[in-house]
Amino acid sequence: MISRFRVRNGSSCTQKSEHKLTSSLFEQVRTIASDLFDVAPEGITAESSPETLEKWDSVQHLSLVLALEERFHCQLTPEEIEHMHNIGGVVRVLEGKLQSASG
Amino acid sequence: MELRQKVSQDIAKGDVQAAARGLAELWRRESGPAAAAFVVSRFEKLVGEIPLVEQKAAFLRSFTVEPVLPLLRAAAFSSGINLTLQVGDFNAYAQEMLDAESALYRFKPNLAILAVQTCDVAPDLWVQYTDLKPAAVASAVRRAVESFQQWVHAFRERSQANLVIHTLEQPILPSAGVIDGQSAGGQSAAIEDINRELRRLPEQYRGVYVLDYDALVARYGRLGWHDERKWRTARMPLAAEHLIHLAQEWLRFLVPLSGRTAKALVVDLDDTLWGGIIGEDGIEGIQLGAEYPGSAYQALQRAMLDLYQRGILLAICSKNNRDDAMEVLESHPGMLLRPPHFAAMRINWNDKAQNLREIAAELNIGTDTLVFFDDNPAEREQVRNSLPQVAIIDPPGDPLSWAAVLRNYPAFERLTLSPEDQQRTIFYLAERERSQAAHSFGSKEDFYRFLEQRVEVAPVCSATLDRVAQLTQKTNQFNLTTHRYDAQQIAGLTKSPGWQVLSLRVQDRFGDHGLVGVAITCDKNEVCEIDTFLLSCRVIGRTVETALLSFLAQSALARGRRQLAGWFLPTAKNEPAREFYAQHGFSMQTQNGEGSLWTFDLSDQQIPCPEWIQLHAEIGA
Repeated sequence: MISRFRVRNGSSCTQKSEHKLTSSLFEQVRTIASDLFDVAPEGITAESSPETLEKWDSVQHLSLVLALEERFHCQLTPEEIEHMHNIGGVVRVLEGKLQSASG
Repeated sequence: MELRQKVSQDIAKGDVQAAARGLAELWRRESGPAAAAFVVSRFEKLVGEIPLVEQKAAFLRSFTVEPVLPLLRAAAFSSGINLTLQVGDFNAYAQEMLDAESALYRFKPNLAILAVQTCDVAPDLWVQYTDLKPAAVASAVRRAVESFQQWVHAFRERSQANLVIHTLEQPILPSAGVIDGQSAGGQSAAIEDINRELRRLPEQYRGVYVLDYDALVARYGRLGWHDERKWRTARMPLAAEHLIHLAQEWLRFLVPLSGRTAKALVVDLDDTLWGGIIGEDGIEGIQLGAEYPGSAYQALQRAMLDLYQRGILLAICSKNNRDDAMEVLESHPGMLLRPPHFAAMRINWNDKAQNLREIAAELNIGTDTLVFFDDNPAEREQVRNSLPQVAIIDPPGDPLSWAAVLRNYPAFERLTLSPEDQQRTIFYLAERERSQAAHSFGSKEDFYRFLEQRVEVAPVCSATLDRVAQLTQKTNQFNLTTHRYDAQQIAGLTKSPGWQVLSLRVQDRFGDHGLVGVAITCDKNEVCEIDTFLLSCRVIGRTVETALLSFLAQSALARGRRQLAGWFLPTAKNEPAREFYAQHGFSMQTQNGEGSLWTFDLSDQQIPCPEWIQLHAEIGA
């Protein structure tokens, strides 16, 4: 394995252009959720939540936040994390975050 | 997602080797928190099916490490280690180490990691430093050091396990401001005093090691490393992007402790040890020296020298004319590495997997202890397919980062060094002269099919004129006649009756190699004479040359020619092309002081295009 020496972009959110080009935000969140909650991507919808996904517990919620922050180069606030009560909420929070960063 | 699906299918089919390789590949591409969960859950299905070293590690910690653990386990699995983990309660580490009946000792770990923070083990130095009198600072330092000594002593009495201790990190901003640096008794100095004492512990206790956490944080930047929000809300002090760096740092200890170390680093030469191609650019033209860009390659060589001093064998595996390469190794003033630094060398035109097998045999080590470093992705892929057990470094695009890649590679870590380590290469040097293994060629067809090469032949045009002329000027190795032309002369040839100037473009699954070949022919009565036939060295040895020759034969026949004819004019550099006509069924007609003339009868023979190459021609065949 090779170490990745990265330059940090402060706390603002910068989406890598490769992600923008390849798939929609929902698809990217779905891939992350599929990895973390061990559910096929087709099994994840905007309504998927800790109630519907067995592995979405408080520990995995922190992992989800960290995975999103790592992938999208941003830091989520406690208020934003609170709104992430289902996958649709996650996507909405990220949309707001990415727009305010680019705008 | 495709790689994930393939892994799941391989697991369903029971092809555990392919699944393990796919997971390691996925981890190489996406070493992050999300992929870690997938990689771990799938590797867990392979436990018992693939060879893995079992390790049990206990975490003694004062902060939230849980989100880092999947990354550590994924990285460990990819290094052939199945890591079982136990995590102690927050701030119960002292009690666990002191109490012989604790969960720590009942777990019977092979390894314990003591990961505590300055703010927990020396809170007065961290938070209240400016309130303290100098005597109180000294006693705080002493208390912290004595605590560590007591814990380690107790641990050594109760367990044979290895113990890795984090050093204490420095504050992002010292409490006293810049004045902290104006005396030997500042806050930073006090924390450094503790760390200096921690570094003495490995000298006192076997199997105790220090992980310089403060240096790790500094490497990536204190400000960016620390996430105040996560710290305040979840006792998780690291920013998301650095989870992987902490996991990798643990791996640098775990890999040598598990015996998953590499014994030898095998490197390519052109565009790896130096910039440029010796066979094309010559000893004056390659980039290597104290000035940029040559300094990037010197930095890589310095990192290799450091590995050499650590007892890691160095070896060369390069497609080159041996004499050209040896001239650089022996006499280029910019080289830091010289022939005696290399325990084995394969500088030839054979395939690299075969050369790696020979290197391992010559050094009497397993191919699974080799690490292969080559700038060329096609060579790496060939090795990956033929010898999946060889570890392969995919160098990032910028050579300036390569030295750091070698320095951060866990399989090169050693936790102790013996005097023999530094002598190791000398032993192999004697061995080198002795064993000149016969070269046996394995089947390369699978590799060629894997490459999915697409070859385009087109007449030279205004857009390609300069490049075609340049190739005739600088191609030395696979060049049958070494006729040099400038752009004007090429343009002139295209207007001469009977002459054709063709360019060759090669693409494969890794991308476009661009315009890398030239053929110039001249029709005279029934004969099509090959005036120039050359390929850039970057596509030599992948049967592209056969495809181009096949095209020449077909198009000559279509124009009513009965014979192909061509000279081979030997030079100091074009050894790789020597057998080309003989290998393709040509007969030698004559030989003189300059070279040999070869012919091929088109009326009763064919030169088939290799089935793994898609040939496209912009002109009628």
